[in-house]
Amino acid sequence: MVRRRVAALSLGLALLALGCASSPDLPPGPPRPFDFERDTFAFVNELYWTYRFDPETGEIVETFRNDDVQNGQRCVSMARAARQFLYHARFEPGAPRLSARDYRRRVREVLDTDPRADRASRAPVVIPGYPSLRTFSAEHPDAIVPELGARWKSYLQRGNWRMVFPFSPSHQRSTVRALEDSLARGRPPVVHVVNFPGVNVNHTLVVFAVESTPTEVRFDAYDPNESESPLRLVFDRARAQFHYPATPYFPGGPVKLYEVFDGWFL
Amino acid sequence: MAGSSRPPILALLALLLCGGCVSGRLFEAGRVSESVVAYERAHVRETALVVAYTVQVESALGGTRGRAERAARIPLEALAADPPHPVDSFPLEPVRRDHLQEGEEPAELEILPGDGVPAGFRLCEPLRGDCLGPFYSGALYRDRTAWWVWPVLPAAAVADVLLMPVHLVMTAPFFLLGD
Repeated sequence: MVRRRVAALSLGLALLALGCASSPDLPPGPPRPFDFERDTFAFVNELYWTYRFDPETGEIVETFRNDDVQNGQRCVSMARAARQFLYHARFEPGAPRLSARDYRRRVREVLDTDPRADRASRAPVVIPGYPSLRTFSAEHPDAIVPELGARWKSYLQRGNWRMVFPFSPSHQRSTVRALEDSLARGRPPVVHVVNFPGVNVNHTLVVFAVESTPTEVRFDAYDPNESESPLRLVFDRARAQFHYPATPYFPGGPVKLYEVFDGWFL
Repeated sequence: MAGSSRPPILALLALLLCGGCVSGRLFEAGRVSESVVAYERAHVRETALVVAYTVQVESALGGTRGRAERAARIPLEALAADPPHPVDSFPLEPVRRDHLQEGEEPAELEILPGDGVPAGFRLCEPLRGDCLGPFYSGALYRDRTAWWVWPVLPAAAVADVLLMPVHLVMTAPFFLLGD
């Protein structure tokens, strides 16, 4: 009996030692800061609707586009994927290019990584022939779009439950502090923007820069719907309220925001 | 039978339209905020500036609920801080309006223009031309919960318990509504 206990204890200690030995030696955070010009997709999350805003009445007229939308309702997948490429892919512009099929396989490897991980891969997936995600995605959207997954993945993102609950001013303030902390560590947070029970904005962004003033906190974010320039989210410190800018899909106004792909429940 | 089941169904639909946690929405709807619309007078007493101002009181349900007179004591040290304190953690203290006594030497405030209301002020020394600040009006923004929220809260909490599973299931179809 005593021998068994000693054996079990020894086994436990050995496993603990192995655990220590195999713990990742890379520090938390991505291998380098997020760079909008490099770390975003050249293609966009396409819109199924066109929006017309009446600035006087505030009325929004939505018209369903009859175009053949190939990559719509994938803001969640694109935001998540942009961060996965930052953490888990390495672009080698000088290396020989691959076939479309091989590129697609490498993209799949990147997207199979843990989107919540806060440590870069020790053996990142190498994407040869291109200097950045931007240039790679410009030439190989067909290797990426199918791997982003179906639209239902957005509908069932793990953190969606949070949007139905109210967001108190103190929650939004603590969200700002958490975003600032993440960015100070180099980690670009993925955020879900809503104004539920309003339904005119429901979007996912990658926040990558912050600027703080006495009255506002200004965040720059990658918007999968817009590949040309970052989006500026402004947090009004006094009202504890985020303000979303006017875009082709939203007239601009107050929104609620929380981080997703962060921890077990979001 | 069909007729008798209609009221509960309508009640359920009405509650669903409220969206999300009912008691939380109740708190959101019952929020009353105050923001500065004018600075009246101020004076320096010992190590602080005491300032009188007027706020506009607004309800989250829409509409202005009038104006109110307020006063605050602002430490000069905080006013002189460089970089300035963020408005949501500015160390000031609300005081009663009668803290400002008639006959005291008025302090000179240089008002910073905002969007129809003062964005803030600087406290200036007219003889030397020195100014402390800026002080931003956002530091005097306040919000509170309206009294009527509390009696309604028990019913809202019951609705939450009943509806939460439905709300959670409804988050997926919600995504179908737009882009």
